Amino acid sequence: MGPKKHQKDSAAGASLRAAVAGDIRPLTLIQSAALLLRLLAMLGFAQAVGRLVMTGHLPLPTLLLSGLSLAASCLASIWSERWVANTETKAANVVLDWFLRFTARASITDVQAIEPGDLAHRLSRQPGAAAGAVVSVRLGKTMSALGALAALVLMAILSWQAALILLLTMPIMVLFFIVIGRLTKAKASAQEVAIQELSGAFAEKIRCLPTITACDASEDQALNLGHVLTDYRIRSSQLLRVAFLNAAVLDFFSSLSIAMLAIFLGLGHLGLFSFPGLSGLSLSTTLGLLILAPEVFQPLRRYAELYHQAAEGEEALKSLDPIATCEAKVDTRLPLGRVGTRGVVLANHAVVGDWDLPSTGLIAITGPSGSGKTMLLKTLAGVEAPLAGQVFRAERHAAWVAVDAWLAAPTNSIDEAKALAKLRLTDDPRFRDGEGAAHAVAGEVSGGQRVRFALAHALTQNDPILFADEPTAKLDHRSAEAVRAALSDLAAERLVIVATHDPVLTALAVERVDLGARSEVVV
Amino acid sequence: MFRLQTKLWVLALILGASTTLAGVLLVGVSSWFLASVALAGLGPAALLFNFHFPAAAVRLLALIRTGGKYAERITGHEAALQDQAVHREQLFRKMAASQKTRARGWQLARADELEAFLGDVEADDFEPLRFSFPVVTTSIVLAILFIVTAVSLPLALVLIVPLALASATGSWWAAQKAARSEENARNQRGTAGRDLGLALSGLVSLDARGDRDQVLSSIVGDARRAEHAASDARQGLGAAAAIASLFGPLAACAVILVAWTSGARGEGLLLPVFIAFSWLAIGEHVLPLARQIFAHRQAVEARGRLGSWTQDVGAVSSHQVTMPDTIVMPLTSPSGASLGPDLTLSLVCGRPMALLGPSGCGKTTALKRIAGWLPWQGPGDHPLGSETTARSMVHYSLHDAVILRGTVRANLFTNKADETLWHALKVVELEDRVREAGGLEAMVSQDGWSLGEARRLQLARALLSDKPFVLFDEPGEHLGDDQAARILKRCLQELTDRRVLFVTHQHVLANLASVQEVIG
Repeated sequence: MGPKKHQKDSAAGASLRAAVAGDIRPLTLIQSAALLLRLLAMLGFAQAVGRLVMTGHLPLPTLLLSGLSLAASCLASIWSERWVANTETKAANVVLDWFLRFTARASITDVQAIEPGDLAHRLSRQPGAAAGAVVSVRLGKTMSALGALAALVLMAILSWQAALILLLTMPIMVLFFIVIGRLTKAKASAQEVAIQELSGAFAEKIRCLPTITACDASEDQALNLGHVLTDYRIRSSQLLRVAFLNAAVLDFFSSLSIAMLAIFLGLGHLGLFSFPGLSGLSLSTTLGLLILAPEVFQPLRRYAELYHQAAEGEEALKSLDPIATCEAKVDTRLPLGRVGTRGVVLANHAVVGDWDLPSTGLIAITGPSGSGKTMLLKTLAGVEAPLAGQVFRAERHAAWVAVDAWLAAPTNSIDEAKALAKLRLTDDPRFRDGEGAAHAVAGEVSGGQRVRFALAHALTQNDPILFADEPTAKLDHRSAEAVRAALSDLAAERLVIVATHDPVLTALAVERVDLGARSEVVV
Repeated sequence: MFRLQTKLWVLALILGASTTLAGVLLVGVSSWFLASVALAGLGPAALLFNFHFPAAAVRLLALIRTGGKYAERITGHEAALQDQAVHREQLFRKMAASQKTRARGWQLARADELEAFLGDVEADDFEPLRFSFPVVTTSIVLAILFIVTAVSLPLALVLIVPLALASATGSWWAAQKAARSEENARNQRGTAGRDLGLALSGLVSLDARGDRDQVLSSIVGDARRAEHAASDARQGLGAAAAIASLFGPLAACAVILVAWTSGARGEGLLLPVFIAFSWLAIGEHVLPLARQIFAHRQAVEARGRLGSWTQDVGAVSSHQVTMPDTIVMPLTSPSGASLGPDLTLSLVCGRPMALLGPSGCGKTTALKRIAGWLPWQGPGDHPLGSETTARSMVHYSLHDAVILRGTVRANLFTNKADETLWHALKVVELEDRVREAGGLEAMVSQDGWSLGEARRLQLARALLSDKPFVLFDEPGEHLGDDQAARILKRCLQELTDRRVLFVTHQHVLANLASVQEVIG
C-alpha cells in the first residue's frame, strides 16, 4: 500500500507534484493544527468532566477553552478544505494545459493515434484524478502518519506507559496487515482477470445493444448477463471477505485498545492493580487516555480508504506522460506572401519540386489513390511538414473543405442562407432553418453534406485561399455540379486548390499538378 | 429504498445498527466505568465494587463492534451486489425493448458517453450502500440515544435537538449545493467531450485554417469550468463534514452542562457521563451525512437520465400478415420530412433489390421504417402488419458493425451447427482469420479486429439469420471495392430463398442486384 518506487518515474507526476509543492507544506501545517486543536478540545472536555465528577466543581474556563479550540479546529478544517480544493483545481488546470498543448499543437499523427472517444473520456476524468493523487492523497497519507503520531504523543504526555502499550500493539497489527495483504493479493491475482472481464460485460453488451437487438439476441444476452453478474457477485464476495479483514484488524485493535485501557485504568482507580503510569491517575487523565486511544487507529483507517483514489490517480498520472511531454508541431513554412514550393519531396517520397502558385484561380492536384494528393494539400496548408524542401505561405487563414471538415456554429445570416441554397443543401428540409445547420455542426450529417457545409461557410468568409480535398467525391451529380460552380466562381477572386479525381472539375482548373506523373507540372 | 434483496438488507441493517450501537456504548460504558470506579476508589467501597460485570460488558461490546462491523460490511456488499445483478439485467432488458435503441445513431457506442452512462448505473446501483444503509443505521442509534436522553435528562434535549436539526439542515443544504455544482460540472464535461470529439475528427481542417488553437482553447476552457464546479462541490461537502464534526462534542457538552446546572453531583453524574460520551461517540457517524445525501441526490438524477433509455417500449402486436411482393413508401428524413418521391420496393425471393444513393438521402431511414425500427410513415398500416411483426420478419444488418468482447461463436448470435457457422464465415472470407485466431471459441474484441473484419462478421450474422426478409445497410462499408463485390455476390447467392433489399452508395454493389433504384 505504500508509495511505490516507480511512481517517481512518471514525468507527469513529477511536474505536477512540483506545481503544487508550495501549497502542500502550509496545508500540512493547517491540517495538523486543526487535528491538534480537535484533540486538545477533547482532552479539555475529559478534564472538565473528570474534575466535575471528582470535585463537584465544573471548571468553566477549561470547558470554554475546549469549546474555543473546537471552533478553531472547525474553522481551520474549512480553511484547509478550501485551500485543498483550490490547489487541486490548480493541478487540474496544469493537466488541462497539457491536454490543450497536445490537442492544439502536437503533430496530427500523434493526436490521431488516440481514439477521439478515449481522449474525450480522459479529458473529463484524468485532470481530477491526477490532481487528487498529488494533493488529497498525498496530504491524506502525511496526515495519517501525523494523526497517529499526535495522538500517541498526547497520550505519552498523560502517561507514557499507556502510549507505549499502544505503540507495542503496532508491530502486531502491521504483521496482521502483511499476512492479510498477502492473502488478498493471492486471491485477487487469481480472480483479477475474471473479475475485470465480468465487470466489463455489462458495458460491452450496452455498447453493442443495437446489434444484439438486430440479431434478436437480447433475450439470450440478458440471460447470459444474469449468469455473468451472478458469477461476478460470487467472485467479488469471495475477494471482499478477505479484503475486509484488513479493516477488521484495524477495528479490532481500536476496540481492543479502548477495552483494555478502560479495564486496566479502572482497576488502577480501584487500587486493585498497581502499575506505574496506569494506576494512581486522576479521572481526567484516564478519560483523556480513553478518548485518545481510538484516535491512534482512526488515521490508519483513513489511509486505507485512500487506496482506491491513490491507485486511480497514479494510473492517470502514468498514462498522462505522453500527453505531458509531447512536442509541439512547428510550422516550417516561410511567410513569403505567396504560395509555392522549392525542392519539396512529400512524406510518401512523391517529388513536387519547384512550384509557384498564382494568387487567384483554380488549381487541381490529380493522381491515382495513394499518390499523395491529400498529402500535398496538407503540406501546402502547413498541416504536415515535407520530407525535404521548403514551402512558402501567403496568409495564415485559409479555408479547408473536406468530408472531415470541422464546422463552425451557424450564424443564420442571409449570406449563409444564400450559400446553403446555392449548394443545394436546402433540398434537405432539415437544413431549411438555422436549427438544421446546428445538426450539421453536431456531426449528424453525411460526408457529402459536410463538404457542402464547409464550402458554404467558406463562401461567407473572405479567406484568400481555399483548400478542397475531393469536394465532389461523395455527391450526386446535381450537388456535384453546384459545388463545381461554386468553386469556379470563388477562383475568380481567390486561390482555390483542389485535390480531386473528378475530370469535370479538373477541366475547370487553370493549372494542374499530376502526382501520378510525379514532379511534372502541367500548365 | 432497499428495493430488491429485502431480507439481506434487513439483516445488514440489524448488524449495522447493532455494530454502531456497540461502538457508541463501548465509549459510553467505558467512561461510565472509569468514573464509577474512580468514585468508588475514594472510599472503602473500592473492595466491594463489582467490576467483573462492567469489564465483561466492555470486552463484549469491543468484540461486537469488531465482528459486527465485518459481518455488516460483508452482508451489505453482498446485498448490494445481488441488487446490482438483478437491476442491471432488468435495465438491459428494458433498454433492448426501448425505441431509443433502434432510433438514429447509438450514442453509447462512444467511450465517453458509455462511461457517463455507467457512472449513472453505478450511482443508482449503490445508492442503498452509500445512502440509505448508513443513514438508517445511524438514525436508529440516534433515536435510541434520544430516547435514553429524553428519559434520564430531558432538559438536555432542549440544546441537543436544535443542534441535531442544524447539523441535518446544514448537511442537506451543502449536499444540494454540491449536487448542483456537480450537475454543472457534468454538463460542462459533456459539452467539452462532444466538442472535442468533433474537433478531433476535423483536426486537419482546423489546422489548415489556423483555427486549431482557438477552437481547442475554448473546449479546454469548458473542461476548466467543469473542474471548477467539481471543486466547488468537493469543497462544500468538506466544509459540511467539518461543521458536522461539531455535533458530537457539542451534544456531549450540552449533557454535562445540563446535568451540572440541575445540581447532579458525585454518583448522580455517572449516568450523564455515560450519555455525554455516547453522544461524543455518535458524532463520528454524523460526519459523512452531507456526502451521503449527496450520493442520494446523484442517484436520483442518475435514475432520471437512465429513464430516458428505457422509455417508449413500443406496443406489442402479434398481428400476422403474409409477406407482400411490393412495398410503396414515402422517402423521408428521420423526423418525417419528405425527401423525394415515393419509393416502390419489389420484394421477390431470389431477386435482390438495391437502393443506390449518396449518404444522407434517406436510405437508412427507409430501411429502418421497413424493419420496424422507426415508426411507419405512409398511407395505411405497416405493410408487414406492425412495427413489432416487422421486427420478427426482418433481419436488419446495421450500418455500424460492432464486435462484442467474447467468443466468435457468441458474436454470431445463433446456436446453429458448427458446419453452418464455418460455411457462413467462409462466404464472408473470415474462415482463415477465425482459424488463425483459434476457432469458434477464440476470444475476439473490437480492438483486435479491423473495421472491415467487423463488417464481414456483420454479414455472416445476416447469413445465419432465419428471417424471411434481409435488409443490408451499406454492406460494402470499410471493404475494398473488389472484396465488397465478391462477398456481397456470394451472400446474395446464399440468400436466394429470402427477400433481400440493400442500400449502398457504391455503383459496383448496386449492379449486383436484380432490381436497382437510384435515389437522391
